[in-house]
Amino acid sequence: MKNCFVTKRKTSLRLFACILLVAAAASLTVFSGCAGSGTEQTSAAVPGSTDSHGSESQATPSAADSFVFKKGDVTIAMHAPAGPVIEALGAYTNYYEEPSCAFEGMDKTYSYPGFDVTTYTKGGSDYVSGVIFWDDSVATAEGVYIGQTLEDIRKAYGADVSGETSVSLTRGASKLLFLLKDGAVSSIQYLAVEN
Amino acid sequence: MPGTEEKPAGNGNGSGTKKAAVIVRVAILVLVLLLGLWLAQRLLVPKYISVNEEGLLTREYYAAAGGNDVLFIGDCEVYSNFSPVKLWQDRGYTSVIRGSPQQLIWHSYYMLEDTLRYEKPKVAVFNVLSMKYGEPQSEAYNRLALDGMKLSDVKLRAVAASRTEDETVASYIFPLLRFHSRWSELGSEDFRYMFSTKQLSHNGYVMRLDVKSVDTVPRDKPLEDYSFSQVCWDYLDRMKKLCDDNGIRLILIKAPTLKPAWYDEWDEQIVKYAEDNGLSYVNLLDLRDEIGIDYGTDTFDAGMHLNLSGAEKLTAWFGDYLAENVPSLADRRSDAGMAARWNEKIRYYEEMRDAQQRQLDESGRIDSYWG
Repeated sequence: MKNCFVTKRKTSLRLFACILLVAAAASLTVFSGCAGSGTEQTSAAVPGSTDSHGSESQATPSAADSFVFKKGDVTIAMHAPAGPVIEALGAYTNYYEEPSCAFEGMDKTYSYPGFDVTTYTKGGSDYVSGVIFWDDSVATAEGVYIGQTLEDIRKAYGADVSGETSVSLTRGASKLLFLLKDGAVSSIQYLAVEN
Repeated sequence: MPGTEEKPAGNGNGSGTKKAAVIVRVAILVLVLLLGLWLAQRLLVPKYISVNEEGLLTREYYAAAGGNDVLFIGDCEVYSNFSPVKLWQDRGYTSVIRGSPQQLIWHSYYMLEDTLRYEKPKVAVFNVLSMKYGEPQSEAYNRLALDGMKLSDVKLRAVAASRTEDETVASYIFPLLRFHSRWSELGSEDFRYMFSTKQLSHNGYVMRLDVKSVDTVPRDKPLEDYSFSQVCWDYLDRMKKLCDDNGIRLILIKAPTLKPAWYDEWDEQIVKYAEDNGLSYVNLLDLRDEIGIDYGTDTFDAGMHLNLSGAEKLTAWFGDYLAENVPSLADRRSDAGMAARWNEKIRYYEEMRDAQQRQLDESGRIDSYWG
């Protein structure tokens, strides 16, 4: 009886161990299967999660990677760290910050004569999200300003540029948008876009 | 011989007992595993207590469900700007808000469908700002809107319609699949609110008492294209049809907040849609003077959202509008059961208001909704 019991108990333990192993393997499979994507997703600013890019900082894109706006000695590229840009531009005439509905940081707008610079927050740091021109006192690095024509845009950016109401050019993670009204440029906007 | 007859029977009983024991052990093991997974999930999901508190809103609806005659649906422009408690106090109308941050129109549609599983309001008020978004903006907004929704076919369809490329439907059924990597971020809050939580809203309204006046508002940048996406029109059509099928009056509104921009070109499209479909559309931005909103005192973030003072002014005006335009709405304050229920809501409303006022008196700012 004793031997028989030991045999049966061994069988049960083996079964128990097998189930544990299977469960552990299944759990590991489930978790490891999504571990890679899970880590990435957690960094995607999901509520309650810390942005894993929080301690990283983005490098300043070069003119080859992004359209840039030049104001005096200051070169402004999309997705560039905002702090040095705002400091270099000097005093702004107006400032407005828009808290996000849910997430960290603020979308900020710094106004200067003739243009605004907008920024976004990522990982606790601010980066340039756009530049918009409000009048013809400022021009793109290639020399186009509000009031010029599609022909002027072509001269600056290439003969193949076309558009009736707008011209949109992309370079890396930046977009340069010209809006046209009655044949003339009515708005010029630099926009940070996803690469 | 009798012995030989009994032996098989004895063996059979022993075998049955052994099998039963194994089954019991397996069942216990499975239960222990499930319990472990459930506990892990309770621990790892975000608690929304000190950050992104609006993540509590969707799940809070279910405690407020039932008997609401007015339903507000939309983004922060409804949950920050309308006070159901004020609407009850002024008019005796029962109302609830199903809002979430940057709620997109497909979220709103499924919020309406989900609501109809619990109650049938007489009026649905939809804030049209989300018409500007034709595609999902980020996983986070989906989580805030849908993680708290009770599991149903409506939730599954909502997730399918909303999810971004990397999101899986399964992760909305078993959030542990999504949040397991939070183990390294766990804080005391995750343990403290593992099995209980705080109540943020007042039938969906998120209260803020502080003031940050509007000093300047940047000009709205011109857009390349002002057309709303077809998918938004499709969901608005579906929302209208769902309301029609259920005898619900659909009212479109644009909340009176200065930012984000609401372009004239957008407004014209909504005006035309409302005219073409026999709907009421109220652009409350145009009525801000009549409502009495003072952007020096009635906003807590420089014009994006109204504070309590602004929300109560807007709600008072909207109560008058409803009384005039929806005569079927009843004053239910004479219903003793309903009055008792709302008295409890008023008590909590005043408690939170006082707690926030104390913070303002002591430090000049609000660090927590609850004090």
